[in-house]
Amino acid sequence: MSAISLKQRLNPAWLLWPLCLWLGIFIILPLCILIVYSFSKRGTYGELELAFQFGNYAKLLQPVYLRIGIRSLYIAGLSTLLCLILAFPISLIVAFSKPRIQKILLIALVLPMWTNLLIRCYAWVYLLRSEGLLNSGLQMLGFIREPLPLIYNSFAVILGLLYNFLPFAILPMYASIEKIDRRLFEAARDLGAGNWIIFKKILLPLSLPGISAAVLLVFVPSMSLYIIPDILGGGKTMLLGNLIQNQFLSARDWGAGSALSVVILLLILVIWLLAMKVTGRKKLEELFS
Amino acid sequence: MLPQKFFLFLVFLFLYSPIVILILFSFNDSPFSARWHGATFKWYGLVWKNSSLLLTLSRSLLVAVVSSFFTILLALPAALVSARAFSRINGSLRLALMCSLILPDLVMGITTLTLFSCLHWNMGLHSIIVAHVTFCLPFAFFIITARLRNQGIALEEAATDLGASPMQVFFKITWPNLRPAVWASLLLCISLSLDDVVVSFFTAGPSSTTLPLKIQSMLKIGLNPQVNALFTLILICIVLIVGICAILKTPWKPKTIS
Repeated sequence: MSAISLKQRLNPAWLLWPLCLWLGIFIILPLCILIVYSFSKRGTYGELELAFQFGNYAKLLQPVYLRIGIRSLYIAGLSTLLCLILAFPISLIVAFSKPRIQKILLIALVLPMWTNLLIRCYAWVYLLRSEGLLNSGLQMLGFIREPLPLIYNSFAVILGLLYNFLPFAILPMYASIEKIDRRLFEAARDLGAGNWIIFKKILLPLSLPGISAAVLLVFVPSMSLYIIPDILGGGKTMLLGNLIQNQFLSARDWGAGSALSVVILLLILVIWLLAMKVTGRKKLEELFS
Repeated sequence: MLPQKFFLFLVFLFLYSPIVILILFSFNDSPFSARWHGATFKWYGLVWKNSSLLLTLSRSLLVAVVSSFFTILLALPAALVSARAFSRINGSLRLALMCSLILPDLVMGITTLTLFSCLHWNMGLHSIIVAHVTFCLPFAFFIITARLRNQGIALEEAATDLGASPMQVFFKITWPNLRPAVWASLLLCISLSLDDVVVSFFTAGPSSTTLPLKIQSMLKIGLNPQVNALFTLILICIVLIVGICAILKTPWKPKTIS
């Protein structure tokens, strides 16, 4: 009996089918429905009329929507950049410490992520409010007279996004930095390279898979997560996620909401393809599993 | 080394100060203020007596347990084939799972909502369970495949050569070795499901408010020390679960026969 047929006898291929069926019904089919809806028309009473027209996509080009789109790109981009800048040295420090300490540091860095998203945001309200701890602390120390406007603006939203997504950036970056052969650094040092050269020629290129995975895990979710702008932005900073949620639940314009979701999915696809191009599919897959 | 330690200290300050303050204020003896008014345990007592809160908690637990059970039921057999045997759809399955891993919660919620409304199915706890199974699947699948790859297939092949049936091989060899990974992914799925707000928000029916949804509506009114107390209790449970997970996820070592 050959090895392959033995493996197949132990694990027959039909065991895959339940999962495939589930994914087909609950991921692929609904995504198709979403695409169909995005071309639909809005009936007289706000109901969906199946059609093939680009009205919903044209609606997204209105200045109101465009402004929200650009602002979300800006806020998500800025918070992703800050996440990467902060996560890189952290993952570097973790990757270069002793194995025992590495494990403890990683658990400690990820633990806040296990608390509820709502509550993580809500905790910042305590700190940032005008009579919150930061403002009253600074006032008591005499640095400021009037409370600073720390909450219900873009600053608070970016801070909230940074706080929420930092662990998502640290984990993949740590995973790829940890794999770098340490002898490369010694060799470079022996050959007279300075810190900057080592960073530019070894560290950065070799941690690129981690960086692109981090962008994938931070950028898109931060655009679609509507809870942070809701709580910390005070409803004043609308991002694409808030817009979609709004279209589906309050405005009940499912056509426009679907079109927006399709746009977000296309954006994910573009970033995904870019990440694959930068790192190759195999490496990216390794980082995720 | 010193600047590094200082930097890490600042990072941990950033990560943990909001949480510590939240816990601190669960003992604050004033319902609305963000100022300290002395310590009390009364909010914990109120949480314990708040029957609607406890009802939503039991609902959340039910959803979490049922959905993670189904997740394992779907993910485990597929992982067995995917990690071991050759199959043509394997690659596309892995790709589909990776895609659903990065699909934002919002889109996941909306797709389930559109599916249910398109088919004119009622929403309720079952729709939340379906959606939770869908987003937990990739996590369970990848944890279990990683473990299977790690432990190899040599023992199973040897058992088959010695005349064991596929069922015997599974229950005598594969399952005992795989059990920690299955437990770890079960716990992960339970905590993911308990934590979820966004997907539940879109897929919940009128009378199927789960705990995070309840908290969300409580937060609309403003600061509420009961939420802080509840959060502190949940945090303790989570720390316990993560601790157990960390112990279970230790790498597989072949048992030596002496």
